[in-house]
Amino acid sequence: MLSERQFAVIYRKYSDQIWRYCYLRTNDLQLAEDMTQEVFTKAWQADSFAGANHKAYLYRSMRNLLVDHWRRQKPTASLDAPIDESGTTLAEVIEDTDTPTPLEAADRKGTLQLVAAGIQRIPQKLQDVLVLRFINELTAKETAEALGTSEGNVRVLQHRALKELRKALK
Amino acid sequence: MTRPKTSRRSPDQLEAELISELRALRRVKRDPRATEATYRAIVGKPAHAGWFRRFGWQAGAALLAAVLVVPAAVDLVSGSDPLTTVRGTVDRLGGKPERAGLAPASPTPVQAPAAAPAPPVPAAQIAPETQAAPIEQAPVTAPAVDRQHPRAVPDWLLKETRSHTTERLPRPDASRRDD
Repeated sequence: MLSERQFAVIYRKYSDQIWRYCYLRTNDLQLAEDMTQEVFTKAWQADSFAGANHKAYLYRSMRNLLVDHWRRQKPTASLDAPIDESGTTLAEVIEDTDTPTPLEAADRKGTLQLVAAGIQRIPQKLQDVLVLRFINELTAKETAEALGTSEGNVRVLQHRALKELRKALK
Repeated sequence: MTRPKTSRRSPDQLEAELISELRALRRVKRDPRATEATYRAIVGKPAHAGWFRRFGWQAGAALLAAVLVVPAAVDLVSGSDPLTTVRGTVDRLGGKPERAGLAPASPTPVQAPAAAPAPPVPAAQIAPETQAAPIEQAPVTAPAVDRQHPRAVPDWLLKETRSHTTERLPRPDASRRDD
């Protein structure tokens, strides 16, 4: 069992990236927060978490939760439109870009929003690979551990995911 | 007729651009208040409590060292009694020096509980060898206080000071004071 101090360190290190993974897959701030809480609560209470690879454990937990979520509810949301109660769009949670003028910043945010919307139009497993490999910058090995597959398969999925995303953005 | 040249990008370039766009999505930021609130909901305490517990005692030890140990060490170097300084500091802080294993700086006389006075024993009943001999008390005389130097000043310093003040500086002329 982890001490509270050790858990706090792990929480600080991974909670934001776990939340980002969930948010980009659900487009719902509140749901992402709830699911992040559920993942970390289970980890805090589980005896097996202390001896596990924390990062892989947390990502796997989140992925299992997402799979359960999609089973219950078909994803219909688009990142262009807010679906959570606060009415927040993705553009609002993107940290200010390093662009010199507000117009360029808005333009940049618009592009990022389009890319995020494109991600949601490709198959679920490919979405996972894109978010984990390129946005959260997990290695192929870590991604394989999180998705419960092989490293070779991750590379194949990654290639296919980029191809699908390009198609979705045309 | 020639067609205008269009800049065609290779698939590799396109892929690199796409990956760059995906990486930019790292800018999606979570509200720090939500991060903190979620932690509190899980553990029941603010996230920094663990950090405080970790470093709190170290900060406390450093403070104690600054308040007690450093002045005592300075005293030790300068030749004074370091315990006097420590007692004084503990007194000033409102603590009890006895708790820290130190005798109080100015012990107050402890009054014995009022008890019934024992009946006087007649001198005849006490064996002569157990009778206390009268104590001859030497007269106690207070040391003479130097009004110019009320604190104990080492002799060598007094000599030095006198040599500077009396030999180098001219004494004020009493006859010119009235002017």
